[in-house]
Amino acid sequence: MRADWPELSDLLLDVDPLTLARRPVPRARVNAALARHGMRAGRRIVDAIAGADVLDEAAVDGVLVRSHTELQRLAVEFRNGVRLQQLLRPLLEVLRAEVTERPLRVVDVGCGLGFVVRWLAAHGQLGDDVELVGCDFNPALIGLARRLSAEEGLRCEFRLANAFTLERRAHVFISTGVLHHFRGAALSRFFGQQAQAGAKAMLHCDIKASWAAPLGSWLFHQARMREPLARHDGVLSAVRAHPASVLLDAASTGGRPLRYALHDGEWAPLPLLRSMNTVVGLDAALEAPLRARLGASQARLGGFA
Amino acid sequence: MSPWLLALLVVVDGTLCGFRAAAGRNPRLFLRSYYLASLGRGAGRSLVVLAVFAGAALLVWEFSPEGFDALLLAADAMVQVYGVYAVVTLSALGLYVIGHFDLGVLATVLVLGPFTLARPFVIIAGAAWAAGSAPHPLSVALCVMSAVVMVSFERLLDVGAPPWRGVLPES
Repeated sequence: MRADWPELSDLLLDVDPLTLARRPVPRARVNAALARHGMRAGRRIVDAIAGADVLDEAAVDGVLVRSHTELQRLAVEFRNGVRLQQLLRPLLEVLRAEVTERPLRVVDVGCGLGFVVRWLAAHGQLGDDVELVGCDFNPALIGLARRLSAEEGLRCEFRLANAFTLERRAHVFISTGVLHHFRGAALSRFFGQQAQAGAKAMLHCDIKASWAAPLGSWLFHQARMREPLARHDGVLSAVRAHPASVLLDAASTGGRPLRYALHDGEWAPLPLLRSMNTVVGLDAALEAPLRARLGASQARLGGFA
Repeated sequence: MSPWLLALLVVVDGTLCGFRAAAGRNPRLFLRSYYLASLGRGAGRSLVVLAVFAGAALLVWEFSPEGFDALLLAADAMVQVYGVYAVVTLSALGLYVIGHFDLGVLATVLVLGPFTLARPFVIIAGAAWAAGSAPHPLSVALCVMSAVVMVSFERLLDVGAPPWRGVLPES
């Protein structure tokens, strides 16, 4: 696997970014992309999806929903909700002192099944003045996220929408496992759109690039996943994970005027304990108050630039 | 003593198989009753497996005393291998359940994930070690059969249950 290989989940869904209308996905186009990169295992997985000339939408939805459900199991095991809460709670405390507008709006970009948003709504103890919104382009995932949050009585909202063009602005953008989907200029643009949307801060958590990441990802996806697409994309995600320098360069290039640092980004000889890191983007005025709120754990937060 | 310890290990392993068979198939957050049912399913079916092998052992005891002695030796050998695996796994599980973030992640990364992947190989290694320690045809046969059953036990738990537990589309 190589970092320039596309993830299958990105090839199987085509949504117009302006109208959010779902467009048919011709099988030949997917196969051509897979052939271009020599992705034979990926081709076998796509071949198993129903549909003749065009991939069957229901079959694609089924694969993606099952893959995301399995992914949620890993998110639970690796405590991704707690991971984000550790930064989000102090950040919201800082924002309460700095921002008069209420509610404080936290928007999850590319939320999938909305595990993190739902977990934060259930366990996050973020306060009654915080509004949690999950956005994604995939109607099947958003539909299930809505159903699950309704069934469990959670105070959060899921939107089939572009997170950066919501009618009410987000104070904080968050994401988990999204950054590695973007490369080059698209990664800078990702940060730029959030800064332009008027966000005060952002927390983007993703797999930390290291020698152990692909091996560890392979191991866990073999041990925990059943869906072939989930196994394939899970390992590829670790291969595609961006090094710290790439993340911070892209954020600084595209996402001004906010300033950026990496949480848990320091390299360690055994990067087993910190398998994920988080790009923290902040309005410059919030840096010192956030460090103060983090207390001793602020040592895990690198320098802002 | 070893047969009883081995029986306990089968039930513990079967119960944990019940958890794994259900994990990642239900995207809700509050899953206490779902997992309790899955653990119960694993424990129940492991008791059935245990009953079958206990019955086989009783037949061996009745008709082949030397075969039964070999079975006891095989049980000793199996407990040596599976006991170490179980102690490490259950210690890591305890560390995870305590709830400390870093220790939990470390337990997962170093033990719970890799040991899940290693489980079939450990089962086969234990059975081979046991068969080698007690090379009687009956004990070897039972070692092989027990390894086959326990390696495929997680899949046996899917029998009679929809793979996605009715929460998600099945195909």
